[in-house]
Amino acid sequence: MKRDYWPTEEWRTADPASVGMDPGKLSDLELMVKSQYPNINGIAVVRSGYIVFERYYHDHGPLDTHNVASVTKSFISALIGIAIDARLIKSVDQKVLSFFPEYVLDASDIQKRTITIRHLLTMTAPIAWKKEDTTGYEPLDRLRRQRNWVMFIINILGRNGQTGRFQYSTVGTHLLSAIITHATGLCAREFANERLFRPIGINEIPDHEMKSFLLDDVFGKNVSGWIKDPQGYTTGGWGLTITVRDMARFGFLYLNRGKWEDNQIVSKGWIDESTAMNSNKYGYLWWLRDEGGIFSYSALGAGGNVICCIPGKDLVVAIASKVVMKTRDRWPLFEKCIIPALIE
Amino acid sequence: MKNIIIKGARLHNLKNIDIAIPKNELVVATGISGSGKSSLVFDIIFEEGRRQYLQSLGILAGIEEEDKFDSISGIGPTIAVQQNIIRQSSPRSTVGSRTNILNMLAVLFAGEGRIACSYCGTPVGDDLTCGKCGNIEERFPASYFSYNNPNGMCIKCSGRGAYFEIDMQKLVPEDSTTLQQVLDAVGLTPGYMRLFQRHYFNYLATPFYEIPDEVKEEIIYGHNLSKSREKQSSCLTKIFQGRLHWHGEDTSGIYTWSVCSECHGYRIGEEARRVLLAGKHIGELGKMTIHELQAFLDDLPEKETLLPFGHNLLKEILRKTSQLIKSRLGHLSLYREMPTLSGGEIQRLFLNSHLDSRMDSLIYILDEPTVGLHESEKTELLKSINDLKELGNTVIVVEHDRNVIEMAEHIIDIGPKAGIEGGQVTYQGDLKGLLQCNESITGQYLSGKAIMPVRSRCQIIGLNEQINKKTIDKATPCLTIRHARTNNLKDVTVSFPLGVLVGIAGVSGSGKSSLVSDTLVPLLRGYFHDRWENGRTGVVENGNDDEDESDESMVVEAISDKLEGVEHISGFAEVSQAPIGRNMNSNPVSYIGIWDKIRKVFAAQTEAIQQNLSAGHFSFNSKGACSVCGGSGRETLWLGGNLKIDTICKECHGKRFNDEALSVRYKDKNIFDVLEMSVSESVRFFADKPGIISTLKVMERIGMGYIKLGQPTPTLSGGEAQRVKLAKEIGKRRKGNILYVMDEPTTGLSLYDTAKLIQLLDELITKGNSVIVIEHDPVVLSSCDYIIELGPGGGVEGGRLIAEGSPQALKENQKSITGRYLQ
Ligand SMILES: Nc1ncnc2c1ncn2[C@@H]1O[C@H](COP(=O)(O)OP(=O)(O)O)[C@@H](O)[C@H]1O
Ligand SMILES: [Mg+2]
Ligand SMILES: [Zn+2]
Ligand SMILES: [Zn+2]
Ligand SMILES: [Zn+2]
Repeated sequence: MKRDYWPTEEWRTADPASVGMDPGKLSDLELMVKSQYPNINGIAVVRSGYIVFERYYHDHGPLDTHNVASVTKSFISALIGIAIDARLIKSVDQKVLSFFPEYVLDASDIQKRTITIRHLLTMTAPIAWKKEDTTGYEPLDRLRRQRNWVMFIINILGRNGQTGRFQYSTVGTHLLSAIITHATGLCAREFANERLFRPIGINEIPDHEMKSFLLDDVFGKNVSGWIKDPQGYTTGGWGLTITVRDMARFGFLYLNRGKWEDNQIVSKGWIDESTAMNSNKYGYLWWLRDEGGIFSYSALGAGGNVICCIPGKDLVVAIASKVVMKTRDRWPLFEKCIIPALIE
Repeated sequence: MKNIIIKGARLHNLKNIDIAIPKNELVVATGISGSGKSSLVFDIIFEEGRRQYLQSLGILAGIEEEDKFDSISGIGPTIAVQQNIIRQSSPRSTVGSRTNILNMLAVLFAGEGRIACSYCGTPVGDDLTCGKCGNIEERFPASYFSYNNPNGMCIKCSGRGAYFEIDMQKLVPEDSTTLQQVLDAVGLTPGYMRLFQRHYFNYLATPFYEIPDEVKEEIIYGHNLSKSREKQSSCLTKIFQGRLHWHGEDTSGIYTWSVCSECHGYRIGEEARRVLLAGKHIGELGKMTIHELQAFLDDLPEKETLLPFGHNLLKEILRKTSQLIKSRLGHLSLYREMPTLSGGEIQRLFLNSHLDSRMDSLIYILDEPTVGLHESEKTELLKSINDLKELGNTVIVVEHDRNVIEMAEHIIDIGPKAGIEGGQVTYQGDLKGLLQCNESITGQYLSGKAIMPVRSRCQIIGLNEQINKKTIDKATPCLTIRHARTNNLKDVTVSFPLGVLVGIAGVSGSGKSSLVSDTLVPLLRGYFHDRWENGRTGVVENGNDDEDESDESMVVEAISDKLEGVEHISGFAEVSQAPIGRNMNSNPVSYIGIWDKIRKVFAAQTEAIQQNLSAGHFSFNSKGACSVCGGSGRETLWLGGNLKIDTICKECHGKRFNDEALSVRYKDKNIFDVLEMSVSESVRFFADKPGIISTLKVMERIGMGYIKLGQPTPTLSGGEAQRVKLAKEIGKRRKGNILYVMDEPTTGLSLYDTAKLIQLLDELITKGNSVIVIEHDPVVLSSCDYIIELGPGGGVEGGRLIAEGSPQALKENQKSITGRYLQ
């Protein structure tokens, strides 16, 4: 796609009508957010490379960063792609355990041995606690209390003969972050700064010392920058804080199939592979949707954090939300306001 | 309304009966096995109570009802515990989770436990800072102390404390061992062998360790066949599980259920194991007997300073443990898995929780609550049952036990016999009338008018006995266990004389099962295993091999020095009360191994040959299945949440088969009609097919002639399941000299059926076999040649050999508790 400018330095705004959006429908969007989505802190709609709608709530502004929870995973996906493009990782079929030679295996750990990067990217690696007969939620609080997160995760990986079955897991994504470090010699945050954030104008994230690993430091109000585990591995499944405009930059990079200005930041092939529709409706750490003839892929995080890309309409929507337990589904915003606002 | 009034009851074998059952009384329903008691009490009264309740909540509108009776009135909320239903509960459910005591302890540990530093192990102070290394700990919420919670479970075993493990060393002994050699060693049935050979053709000659990991994984663990269910493709794990399940066989030591190497059976994670009260973590408490736990908790306030909240909680826990001890459950541990409890223990646990809740105006239905109780222990149970009634409830007990019948205010006797010869009310009223009722077989036995069989060849033997008859001497063949210390056994050395009927007696929890099921049987298994390596039977190949649950049970380590005298027997058969399977597709004929033969008979009929129907077309698990219900005969309606209701399939009307299968007839019966036959009917029907009826005849002889060939095995009671297993074992017609080991074979048996059982055991002995029975029934014990009594109490107070010898010798032995109840 030909672009008349790149938002590396600054995003430009445009009159909705000038890029084919109905201003009336967008004011409905504003109403709907205000009346039904009290935990949204910021939202931006980008059409054809121009911001047509941008609002902040609860005293937030364009410079504020937000804890975007599992949206982080899709960034990890991009970083794995970049490392593969750079031949630092051989392929998605490389075995996870080949990156952790220090982990001693039993002879019977055959299942663990067969798990690949692809299994982690597609959430099809087996994880111990998710059994039909137990209350299967991921013990993330338990992870937080571990002295060595990676060891804990490898320990619970691959135990029940269920390889290949979709099982959403945050801890598996953390292993991908550790793999990036083993493959590149940089923590995922540093690798992102160099290969992803700097080239497309996302604010680089400096290192932050973790004071402790209490609930608030790991999941709560003290999360800042991009947090790391006790061994210094950047968190892979959550823990990134970012501005709404930078979220939109990341989505925009994907809309352009990895190209930014004259550089191919992520290969086209990786992006196509990451977002190819399948029966799980889940790509490489991207949620896929095909509804009413509109295909979209999204980075989704707890509380209703969203980066949604609709390639067919040259549209990116970024939503930052306060992470709360129960939230209203974000899709009605698209269904009732954003998609109807598109004028062909 | 003062009565429950049922008119025209005609379910199963019930013959259109009218009956009025008084409320707020203690009612006992009795009658010989298969007479129709359960049909009346569980399938009609209980099911109707439940249905009316659901209807009152408005969730059952418009569901078709089965035609069970004309009318019923006076019924209210009904609560029942059927032994077979509880037995099927998840092994994750334990005494501690069921009674909620584990949850309460979790809260206590979360609030009051002492945390050890995760770096250096030093207990941290009240400020949670480690005095030695400065590390700061955080308190854990209660979920970290629950093995059922992802936070609390040991991550290696997912909270079970044990797991199945493939011993790779045994499976692939050499680096050069090829896949074909591995498959040979596993001993696959020809069908499976072909399947694996076809699938892994390219790797058959490859050394196993050089096969790509993905393929190895596929061979061992398989993959998921459908998205939602845990259904695996054919793989070694599944075959091993099937074998364990169907044959209770430990598969050549390759696939074993072993104690978790991470938590050592404590089930909880590393975190909870670092939190102690009086030096112990919650897993250690979970493994204690309730007796021991009570003593430990009693001392706790002296050893730890508890907050007022902790004190109150502790008081509440202690109240519950003493209740359990009063209900004679003190020998159990909180970690004891529900499916491993005996029927009587389940009943008492249930009674206990209901007495605890103090509800009234309910109808309670109990299924043989005295099972597993020593005569001396029954009084307290009877008192609890009476208390339940005194609270203002109606209590209906299905029971054969003399003590319970004698206590009843109202007795209903269903009979006169089993199956089609039963289904009528033979007597209703008080005890005196029952004893005088000539039509009631129960009454006849109770009054002594019908007498128990006399053993044909009773041998009197005894160690160091003065009585005149034959004395055991060096020449009497014996099995001897030395220094057994399994569970609560206190260094027991004991000899079981062979070629005779040996009874193992003792109060509940005294160590009978520890001695027999947990020590003797594993030792025998170990011994015979090595010798039978190559003579093993394969898995049932079609139909039943997709059994999804395996017989997992708690493992205890058998501790003893050795077993002597095994050379005197040529084999052994353990006939336990464990359920045969949870699979509703399994039934007595598939279990005893004649289902294939019956289907072949149908496939050989001209109509079948013309339509090209093979034996597989007569299976409701496969090609013969009704296409609407998939062969279950039922449709399940989910009412939201966990609430569901089963209705009969509208297509096949519960017959399970498709029309094609049903169209073929043999002697004017189709395949469904055959499954509807009782064992007795089928013995006549297949009279000219000895291969089919040999085991069925044995079933008939042990009082199971009333069972339907197609009755799903999960609906069998523990005692019925055991008798089916017994029939299967005897049906194998092995050459004599087999040792049969049985756990309470009288469970579910009326006196009439007990008489038949004694005859059968006698016959086994006459043919040169040996029998060891764990038993409480004074009638059976009195018929034994030799009794070994453990005691004196349960749990820590038991585990000793307190008396042994002939029944006569025990009667004269002051130390014996059992002796005084013998006849
Ligand atoms: N679920 C069932 N399906 C078919 N027949 C059954 C079922 N349960 C019991 N029966 C049959 O009903 C008759 C009475 O059995 P039951 O009520 O269990 O007797 P009891 O409780 O006296 O042993 C027997 O012929 C038995 O085979
Ligand atoms: Mg019964
Ligand atoms: Zn320390
Ligand atoms: Zn464990
Ligand atoms: Zn059907």
